[in-house]
Amino acid sequence: MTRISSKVIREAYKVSKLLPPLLRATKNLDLAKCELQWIKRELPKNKWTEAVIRRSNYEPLQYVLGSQPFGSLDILCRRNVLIPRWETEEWVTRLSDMIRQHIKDTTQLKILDACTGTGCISLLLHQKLSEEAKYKTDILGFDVSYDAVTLANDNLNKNEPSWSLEKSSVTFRKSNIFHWSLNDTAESFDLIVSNPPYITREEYSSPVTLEGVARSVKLYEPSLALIGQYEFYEKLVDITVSTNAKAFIFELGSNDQATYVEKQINSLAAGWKTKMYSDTADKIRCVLGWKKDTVWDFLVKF
Amino acid sequence: MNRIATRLLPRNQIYSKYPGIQCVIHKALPFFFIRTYGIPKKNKLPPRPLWLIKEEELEEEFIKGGRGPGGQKINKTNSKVQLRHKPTNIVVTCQYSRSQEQNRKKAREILALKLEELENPEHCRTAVLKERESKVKQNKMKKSTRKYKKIEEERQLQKEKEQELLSEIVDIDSELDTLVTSAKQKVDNR
Repeated sequence: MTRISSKVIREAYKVSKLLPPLLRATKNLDLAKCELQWIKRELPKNKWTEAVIRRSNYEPLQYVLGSQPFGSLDILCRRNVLIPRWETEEWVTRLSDMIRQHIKDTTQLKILDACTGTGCISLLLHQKLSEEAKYKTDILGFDVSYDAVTLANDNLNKNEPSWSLEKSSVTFRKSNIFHWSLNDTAESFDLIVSNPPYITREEYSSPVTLEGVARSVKLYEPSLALIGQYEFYEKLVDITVSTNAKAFIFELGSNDQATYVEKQINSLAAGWKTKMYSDTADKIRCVLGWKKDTVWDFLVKF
Repeated sequence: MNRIATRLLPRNQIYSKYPGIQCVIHKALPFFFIRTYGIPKKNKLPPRPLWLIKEEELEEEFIKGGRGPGGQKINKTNSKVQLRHKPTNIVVTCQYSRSQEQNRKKAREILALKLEELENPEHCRTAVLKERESKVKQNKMKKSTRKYKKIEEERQLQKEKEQELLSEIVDIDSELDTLVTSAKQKVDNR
């Protein structure tokens, strides 16, 4: 934790009385100014002080304001559900752009979104594929947390009025990935996407400077959506194989998890190719896999 | 200006809409002559010059603020967009909104305005906007000085009136005193 110098605090006080408390959470004057601007723009005047106090107690700004932009969508955020990250937004946008470029057959695209949380991945995929390009998509998202499923449905209801959900569909339901069986949906999927919990227990308990978890995340976001190592990927690969999926993309946090997925898919099924993807901050972020000699071969360029 | 205008126009085109105020039809004058008059209307500003933006000339960068952990470990709120225009090397950044998409749009608008400023410094949108701003300010000043002048004048008038009234009021005690003294004098003289 870097200490904020009194000079910066004085400077902040000159701009606005509400600014110094925000410095506590942001550690950066420019960012604090931005956050104050957003608070002032998105909340009524009588809630500014409360919002600043909450934020100064390290509560994520997204919980304070109640939403987070995700692509062209505005996703509602509430306590007990993980806030969508920009890295996720990045790969989802990239994936949907590539699908629109390379898959010409728009008749049927079935997507499973495991551990959906706010439902952001499902909703953005629907927006980009079904609304902007005329794909017929069926998207199923599930999560173990009751709060998450409720929030995902709220997000769906929020965006639904502007959508024409005649041919395509988005559904969310509550189910546990570890109790998943094929009978749950006697169907197959084309693509499995997921952003499962991927922070290991050691990382979760170590300080920020040693590759740990940020304070506001640890204090306010649900550990249920954060802690996990290989178990989720093991199950996800199982689901991929058992639902006859042709491609998958899973978000992850370390190289070990990527190589684990690679090993696992090759031991369970033949004819799969995998690729690792790093985000623009140059950190490994996703592992992708696809069946050779299918339409999904374009994923090699991801 | 007025004299030039009246000279340029035939006599019959000078008309008066309001009694006492002479108006001139500006049709014979070039466009910029007219614009130097009033405040440019808000809905008649030059458009945002987005046609100057060519995507292949741009270098876009998303700045997420520093190194350190990423992904689920940290929860970043900012999404700064930086645009570099390769031919002119102009760099524009935008973090107006929390949404990256909106910031990208906004950054392009800002860059377009800057490019237009280079191309056509006199009649670009920013110049007109600046002109408008200064004129609105001037107008406000004018109005406020006029208003306070009027108030001051009214006050002055009020004061004068009061003074007059005061001078008209007769002080009974002093009047009585003078009467008494004059009467006394008269008595004494006798």
